[in-house]
Amino acid sequence: MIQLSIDGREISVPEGTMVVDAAAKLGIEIPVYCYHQALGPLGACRICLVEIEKMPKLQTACTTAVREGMVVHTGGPAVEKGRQGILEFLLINHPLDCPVCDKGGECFLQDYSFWYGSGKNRFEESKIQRQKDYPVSDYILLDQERCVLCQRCIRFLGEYVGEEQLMLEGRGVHTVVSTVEGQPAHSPYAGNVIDLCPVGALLSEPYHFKARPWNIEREETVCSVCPVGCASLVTGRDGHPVRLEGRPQPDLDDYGFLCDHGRFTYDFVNHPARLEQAFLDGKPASASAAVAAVGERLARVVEKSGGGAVAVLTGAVHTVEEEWALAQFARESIGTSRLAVLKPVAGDLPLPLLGTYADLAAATGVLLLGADPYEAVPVMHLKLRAARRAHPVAVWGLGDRVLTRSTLPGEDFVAEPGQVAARLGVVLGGEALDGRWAELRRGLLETERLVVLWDGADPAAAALLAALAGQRGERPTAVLPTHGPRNWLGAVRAGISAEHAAAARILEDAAEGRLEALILLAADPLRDFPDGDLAARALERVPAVYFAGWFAPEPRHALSAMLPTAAWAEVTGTYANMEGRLQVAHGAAAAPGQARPVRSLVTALARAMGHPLRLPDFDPFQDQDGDRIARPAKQPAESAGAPARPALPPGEWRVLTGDMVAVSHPPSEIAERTREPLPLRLHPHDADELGLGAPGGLIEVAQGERRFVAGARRDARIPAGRVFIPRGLADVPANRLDHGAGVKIALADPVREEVAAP
Amino acid sequence: MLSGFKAIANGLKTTLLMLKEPRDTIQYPEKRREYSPRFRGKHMLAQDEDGHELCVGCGLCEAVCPAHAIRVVAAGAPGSRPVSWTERYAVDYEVDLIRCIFCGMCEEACPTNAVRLTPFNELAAYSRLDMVADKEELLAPPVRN
Amino acid sequence: MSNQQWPAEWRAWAEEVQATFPNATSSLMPFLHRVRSQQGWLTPEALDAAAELLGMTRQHVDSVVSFYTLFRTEPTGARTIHVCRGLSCMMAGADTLMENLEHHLGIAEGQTTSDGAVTLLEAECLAACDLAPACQVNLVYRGPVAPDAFRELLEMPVEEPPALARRAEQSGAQGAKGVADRE
Repeated sequence: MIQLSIDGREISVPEGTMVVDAAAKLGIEIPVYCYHQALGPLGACRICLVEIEKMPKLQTACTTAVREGMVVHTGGPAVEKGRQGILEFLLINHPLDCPVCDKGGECFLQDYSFWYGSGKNRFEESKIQRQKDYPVSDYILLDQERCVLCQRCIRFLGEYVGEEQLMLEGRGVHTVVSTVEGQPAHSPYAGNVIDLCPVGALLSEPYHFKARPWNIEREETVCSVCPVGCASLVTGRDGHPVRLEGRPQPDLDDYGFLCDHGRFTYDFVNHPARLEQAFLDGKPASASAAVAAVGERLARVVEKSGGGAVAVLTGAVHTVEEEWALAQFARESIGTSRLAVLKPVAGDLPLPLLGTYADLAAATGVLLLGADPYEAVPVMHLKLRAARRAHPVAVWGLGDRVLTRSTLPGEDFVAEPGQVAARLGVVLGGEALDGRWAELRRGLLETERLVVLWDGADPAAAALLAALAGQRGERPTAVLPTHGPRNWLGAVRAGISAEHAAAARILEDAAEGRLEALILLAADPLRDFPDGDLAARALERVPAVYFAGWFAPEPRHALSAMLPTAAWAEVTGTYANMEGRLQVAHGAAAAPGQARPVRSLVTALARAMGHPLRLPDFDPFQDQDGDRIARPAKQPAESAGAPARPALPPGEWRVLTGDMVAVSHPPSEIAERTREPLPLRLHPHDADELGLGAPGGLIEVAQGERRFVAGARRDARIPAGRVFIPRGLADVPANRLDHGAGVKIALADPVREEVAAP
Repeated sequence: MLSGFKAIANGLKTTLLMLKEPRDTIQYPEKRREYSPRFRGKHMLAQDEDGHELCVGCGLCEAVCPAHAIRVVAAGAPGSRPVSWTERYAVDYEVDLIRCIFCGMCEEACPTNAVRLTPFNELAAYSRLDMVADKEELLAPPVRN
Repeated sequence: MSNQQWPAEWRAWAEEVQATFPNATSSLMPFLHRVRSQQGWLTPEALDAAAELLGMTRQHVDSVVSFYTLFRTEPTGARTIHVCRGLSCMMAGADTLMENLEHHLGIAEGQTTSDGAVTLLEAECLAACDLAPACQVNLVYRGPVAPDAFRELLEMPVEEPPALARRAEQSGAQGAKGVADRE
């Protein structure tokens, strides 16, 4: 620890801390543009000048590391004059078009000019004119005139993300930020440069000219798109969300970086497909009439056949409080125990193993078990890269396709399709392993702190993960489940079972005619349940399906009633992310149409059933667990062997599936511009043999009588002979294909290809 | 009794003398009073000589208005036809003249000198809705006739 | 992609500069100087080669190249004339000299004649006020050049290879930061 004094106050900080961070710890703000804790020191903007005794000139606080006995002054005439000079220089070619600029009112150039500037500019010559509103990506506009060349954007994409898509071009006053070779930046993390830009140079295109800081509601929320649950700020104007920004959480060492799939899909709450109107038997109805009718019918079923004839499936996208209200409604008003979370995967994580992002940041080894974080949970990929920047982290990918990538290098172990868990079992069994696999075994067992990112697809992996933790003994093992739905751990906190078997039992009961009514809260079994055929049989057989939620599942004619509920950003409540952390999200928008919070919907339904529901106070936070959900204690697990697998018939294509947030995010008009037209993936050799063009084209996936057509892209990360189909894709429902049997693939009809090719 | 007449005559004298004095009231609306050029009446939105609006929809007037009488919605210029002198303009600009207290802070805050308070003060209307001046109305400054 | 697709000469240069400099960023400039002196300008392939052979991103190479005016990324004539636009040279008639050259060659500043013989460029201060108006022909200083005497710039013999390249070779990879000797 190093002792120093800043503005007469003593502080001791670890060696290597920069003066600016040491001052921040004392609550002394030193202005910065180029410095960002995630990126480290650069010293490009010079605004952070401070006076350090015994140093002849002003020093930049962001590049000066603390020294023992250092005496720093962050104010005083010399510092003030220095800052005024720097600001005057920064403003020489700045257009001063604050009234037009979206950043006006929340801009550090404005703030610092106001706080530290001299208020005068001696530069009278005309300013250099540069490109304005130049699109550097589908979502980002660049105004080169306003740029102060702090290079945060360039360094973030280049160093932090590892995708060099922005650069500095030219010299002196002619220096500008530009894209590499004129190609738009396409990184899924590019949107963060909007938050990072301290001035109005990089702007959000969807937010362009939309609002001003004083006519918006800017509330703390969490992203609703994937289970990472990134802390963010939602901006509401006139009742609609118009922007999502990252929200740094210093106490969790989180810089608040988002991915573009989360950042630019906030408009789903106002999407035309959003359910805003109640429907009864396919016809629009008033909310009260629909609720009264549904309640009456439910009451009749309960009276006739008992509460057990009704089952409730939740898609777990509502808040914990709402899920809890649903659970109360199911148990108290209906009197059923058939209540479960609908998950898109069959695996159930042993909750004692549930890890945290802090585990990930400290990990020495990371196993990607079937999960490709870049595609499924993009911000986890960033967190992994951040961990690697801090210390060495071994990354192993074990899946039925390549899971590491150039920006997250590691060793890849590709298993046969459907054999991922079996492979892990063989590795843990430890018998007759050849070189690489033996290395993997040694790595997994001997690395100091292991974190597993598991996609949850293979149910057999759950026991193996417990066994792995058991074999590792005292060394910590943590698992982070990357699968959805967004708030499944929140539903667990609300007392709803998230076990695959529970949901499967409900659908089996329905398919066998033991159910008379099925209530779906934002659940789409046909799209999401791993066994799509069972879901289809269930929905066909059950006499009444009542849906409440944001987007009604297809086919809508199968639904007896549709009741709109309030969505994310419209209610204040709690969500749980994949580390089981409870996160409070505030509302900033108004629920459209007849949409109402689930809590009020279920009490209304209960009243209509004739059993008024009294919802007692509920606090998702439990004292003993702080802001994480309660987890059962670790049980010593027995060493599990390799699960047996049937051999696959030869000669056909194997189906691989996985999460891809670019496909599974809610429908969004803004994100439509980056929708992946070619979501399927094939190995380039296979694509050549098929005659698929570059980068891809439409293919037909056939199994038995079923034929689906969708765009496929070449991807060397997919092993030959396999086709990757993301989960939840409407064109090719992977859950309707028998993965054990293989599929046939052919080029799609060229006529259709012409029409639909991107 | 004489003193009574005297008193009446005295009073009439004052009255008659006053008839010669200049009048304090005017015959509105046939005659109208002159106001100071700095009188703050109804708002207008100014345009430059090319017909481009000066207002860029920055919303500072909205922020500064103590009576929350102003509502501004900005947008980018549609297509290639600029509405204001720059790429941003106000799609909607409304002043609720019932709420307005004519303090002139909007005028003071305006960075482009677009919103101005004219001396026009004849603000009577038959309905409250008519008292919300929209952009179209504000672009055509009222004239006293 | 393998390194094999690049000319053997470039690969050899890359190895040489990498041996001289411990880190990749330092080896970029000498490498680019050599490729430039060989080709006269930096082709897109040369930039790709630099990025790949020296193990850095194309983004970084582009940034460096755009910083230095002597690294040209457009086809450049066999004879490159820089006319100084510094204060002393301007006062001594550099703008008239430039106009005369432009008029004579039928091209504007920054362009190359259609036969690829001459490229006409203006230079920020050449630090040769004593020679005002100063010019460089293939980086060899020339001056004072009277505005009417522009023909001597087109007629003076130019060295092959260009002087800068020769300097770079003479002093190994380190000498390339300056420009050529004055006459």
